[in-house]
Amino acid sequence: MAHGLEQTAPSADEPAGTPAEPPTGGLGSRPTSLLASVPVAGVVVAKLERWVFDQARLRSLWPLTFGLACCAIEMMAAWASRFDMDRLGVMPRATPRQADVMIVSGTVTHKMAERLRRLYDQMPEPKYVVAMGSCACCGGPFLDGYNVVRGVDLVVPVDVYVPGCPPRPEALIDGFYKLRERIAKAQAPLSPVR
Amino acid sequence: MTRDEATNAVATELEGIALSVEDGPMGLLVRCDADRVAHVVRGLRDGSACFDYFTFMTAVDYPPTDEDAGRLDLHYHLRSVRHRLTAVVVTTIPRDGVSVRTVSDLFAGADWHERECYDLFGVVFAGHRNLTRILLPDDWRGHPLRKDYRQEENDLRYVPWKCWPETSEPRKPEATAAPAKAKPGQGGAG
Amino acid sequence: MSATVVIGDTHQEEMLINMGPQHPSTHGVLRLVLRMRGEVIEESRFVIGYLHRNHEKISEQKGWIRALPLTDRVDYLSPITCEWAMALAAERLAGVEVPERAEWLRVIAAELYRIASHLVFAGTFGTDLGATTLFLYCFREREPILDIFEKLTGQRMTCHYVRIGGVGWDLPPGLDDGIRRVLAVIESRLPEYDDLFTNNRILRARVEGVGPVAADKARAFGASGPVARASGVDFDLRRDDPYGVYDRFDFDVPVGQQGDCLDRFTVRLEEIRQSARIVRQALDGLPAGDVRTKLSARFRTPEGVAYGAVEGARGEIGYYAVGDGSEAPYRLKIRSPSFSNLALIEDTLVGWKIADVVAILGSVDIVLGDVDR
Repeated sequence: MAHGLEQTAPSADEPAGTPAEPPTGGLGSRPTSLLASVPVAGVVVAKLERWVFDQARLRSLWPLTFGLACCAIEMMAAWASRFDMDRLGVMPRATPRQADVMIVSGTVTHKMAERLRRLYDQMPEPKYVVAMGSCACCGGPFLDGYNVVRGVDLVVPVDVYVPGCPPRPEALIDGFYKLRERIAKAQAPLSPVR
Repeated sequence: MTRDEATNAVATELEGIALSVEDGPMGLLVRCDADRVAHVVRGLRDGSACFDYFTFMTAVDYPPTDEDAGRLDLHYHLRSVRHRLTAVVVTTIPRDGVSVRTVSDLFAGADWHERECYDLFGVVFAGHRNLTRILLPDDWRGHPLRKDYRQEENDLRYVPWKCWPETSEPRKPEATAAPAKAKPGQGGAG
Repeated sequence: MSATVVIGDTHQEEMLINMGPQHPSTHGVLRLVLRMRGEVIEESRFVIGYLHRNHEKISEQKGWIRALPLTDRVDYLSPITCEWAMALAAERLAGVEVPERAEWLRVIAAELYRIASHLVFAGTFGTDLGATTLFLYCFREREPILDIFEKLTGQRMTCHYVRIGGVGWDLPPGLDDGIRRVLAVIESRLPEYDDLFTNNRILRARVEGVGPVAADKARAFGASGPVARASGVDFDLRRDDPYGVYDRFDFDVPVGQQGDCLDRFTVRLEEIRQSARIVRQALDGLPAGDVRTKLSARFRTPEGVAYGAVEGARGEIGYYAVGDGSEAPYRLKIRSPSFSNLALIEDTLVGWKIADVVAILGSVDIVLGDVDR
């Protein structure tokens, strides 16, 4: 998963002894600390910086309101009075340009798949996808349909799969908690990247 | 107006135009030839029973067998709100090569229903102002609700064997159009 | 609102605006293509089919019993009525008798879900127009109804409660009182929602007189449900073409006059009260007995044609089934209310401003699973 800061910081998999370039791009082009110019300490600071941003990001995931079908109603119930995902920092945005995560809630049809891919491409990095419901996970009960895509992971890379038909709002919130864990550990999406 | 009165009134008004008018479990059943459908529908709408509510229209596909050449039945369902009656008009057309006069100038609601029939069955309605696909993408090939529809006609992009070629099985023809005597009890779903 | 102010030499351009298929106010994956001059709409076209999930073809392949749980997803805000219509079509084709108690339970379930559906409508209509408070209140009210269904069927939405020949489960003990308590709470809060919406001058200005639809146009399009009744078409399947045991209940059918957005809202709010009335009568008069006729697991329908139509929350949802003696319908046509209602307003948008599009579309209360099937 390409993260915006990877241009400026080494990935978590690289050994600690790799000399790091001073952070450029990202938030302003100046190095964020004097220690960044020192090889070992620069890596530590860059990793810390990235960890801090990841922690901030996972506490404020803004999903794209992308309700396709029945799961959208449970998604709306998750945002509504009883379950209130807003307290997790999850604020729905209508435009992909301002969204972090796309909750694909409902069946993806072949007619919709092109638009879904376009919306995903319009989201800025770093972005995540939660496949909510059986239809988004694997095609669900509509597997045999001629117009149905068998799972949204054929269209976009998926980070978290939330099964159910429809999943309860608690299940969606649990999916968000799993997404937060994956962001904290900087893990790649589960599905094969396209 | 009771059902019997309506049946008699419609039978009188549509004499010579419809093939038969009878009272069935679904209300009035009017059978007619394909070239008379518009007359029958107009007669029902403007007649004394006042069937001015267009519920829906649909088609039923009978593919060719050894005995007959196959046909498509068109069903138009109308209601009379004032008298609380229903009427179904049934007509038959060959599966290909024939167009039916549209009724969208008589009932504005027939517009989308006829487009859906064209999209899913391939029925052509002459005089329709915009006979294009409505539910499926414009470049879809084939008419899926026909019994002999084959999914392979469409070269779709988001299918498992194209997206994950290394993890999917080699592509085989999908189980699409079930034969007319489908046995869903065997072999699980689909 | 209709005063014209000329500021210098204004130049209005023609624009082509695309709304959807992803849009917060289109209530699903609906695409509107609007040709506008300034803010006024000159031509509007709807593009549907983004949720065409092939219910009809899948039903032909799966068979009656396997396809019945799938029909919950046609109108997923009022799933009981979809199941009921499909079961009705199968029962009429095959001549299956449904026990008394099951018919009464079907009424209770359908009317409770009608209340839940109208609450979703009120909430989303308010959100579309900016009154987010209504959304939170209505969804709060809806949660106890979903709790009832969870106790009854195990599922909040898409319950698969109605089966061919009856219903799936009997009322568990104690649910009777639970339903009455929930109805009491909802009815006590309805005046508050009326106040929030109908007595709010800003909201009224946005919906009063906006998007009126004439009664004969509604009939020509086959519009049904609250949309048609708000336009003055006094037709309700529960009263005028009764199915089940609806002829034993005493209820009013609210009818509007102008068919504008406010009428469509008020009709639905009044229908919540009438549905609560029906549920109370049903709970009081619930007979004892079986809840399901035992049918073979290989349920077959003989040759023939039948139409099972039910008054759903959005209008007449009907299943037109052609049987061929096998376990699956030869052809199952789903007559969806939102399909006809949406076709009705395609040219109603002409002449209104872009902000009114949201009000008109929201007031029709479509469900895309129903439109596209």
